[in-house]
Amino acid sequence: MKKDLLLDKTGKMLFWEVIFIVLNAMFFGIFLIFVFSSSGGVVVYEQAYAKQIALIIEEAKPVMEVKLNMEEGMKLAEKNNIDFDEIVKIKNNAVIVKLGRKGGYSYSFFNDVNVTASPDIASNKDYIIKVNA
Amino acid sequence: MLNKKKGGKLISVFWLFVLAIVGVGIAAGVSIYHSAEVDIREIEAGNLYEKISNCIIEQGFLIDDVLKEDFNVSDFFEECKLNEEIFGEGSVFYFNVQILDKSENLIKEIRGGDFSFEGDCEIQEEDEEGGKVTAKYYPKCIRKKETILYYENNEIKEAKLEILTASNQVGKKIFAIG
Repeated sequence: MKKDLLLDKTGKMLFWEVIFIVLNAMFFGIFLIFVFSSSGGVVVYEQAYAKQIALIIEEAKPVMEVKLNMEEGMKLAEKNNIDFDEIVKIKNNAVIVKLGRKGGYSYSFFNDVNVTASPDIASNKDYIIKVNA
Repeated sequence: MLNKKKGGKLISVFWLFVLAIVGVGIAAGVSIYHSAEVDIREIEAGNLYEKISNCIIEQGFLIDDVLKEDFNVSDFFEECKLNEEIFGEGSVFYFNVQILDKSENLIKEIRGGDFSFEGDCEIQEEDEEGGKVTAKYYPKCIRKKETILYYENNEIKEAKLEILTASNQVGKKIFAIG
């Protein structure tokens, strides 16, 4: 019975047709995987948050405390097993945002201020940026 | 002339070719989308302008320190709370503060960052005929001129202040965070 499905009217094996369908299925499968894995958004969110925080720091006057909603970023970080307090780092006048396992995104700011960044303990969505003198 | 079998194989070769083109197109589209940069250089240049302007002008008057002979670039960085290292070698920022008298003679000039941005900014400005050059990888610039007052020998004098600020920062992906 099974054999009949793979035979044409003359009883010959539909070899090339089967190969053709399998190749098509593999092709679309690979591309679906590629699209869904790319649309995770880690790179896009890292860039957006780093630039947003750098602008906040540049426009802030000491002493100022800013609470930034990073809900989407924190979800991505959690998915990639990144600790919340590792998401935003301020080093050598640069904001570094890390949401994935492969490094992060760095963006510099030009003012000479002491800045600290830490997750808001009260909520799992916000990050607190403190601009000190 | 091809028989039916060979014709079928030929069509599937074309089909694979079409699939390859579609696949490359999808991959290129997704890659372009995810590599798109959010360009905030103009906002940054604006922020730098505001910071410098608010630093050296108080209620329409130029602060006294700026016109002192011994007031140099390092003093300027300290006064305006700008990080001197960020404006050092390989900087992605630039500023030029020029103080001119009523006859447009230069009284004082203070500048920092990548000096080559000055020329890049000039190229992008509108020429006399209203033409403008746009260059994607050139810095984004803000240039403003305003009339200000200052004290000299207890007299109030008028001057022109021209501030040019530029940013060409695009950020970077880093693979190891120390």
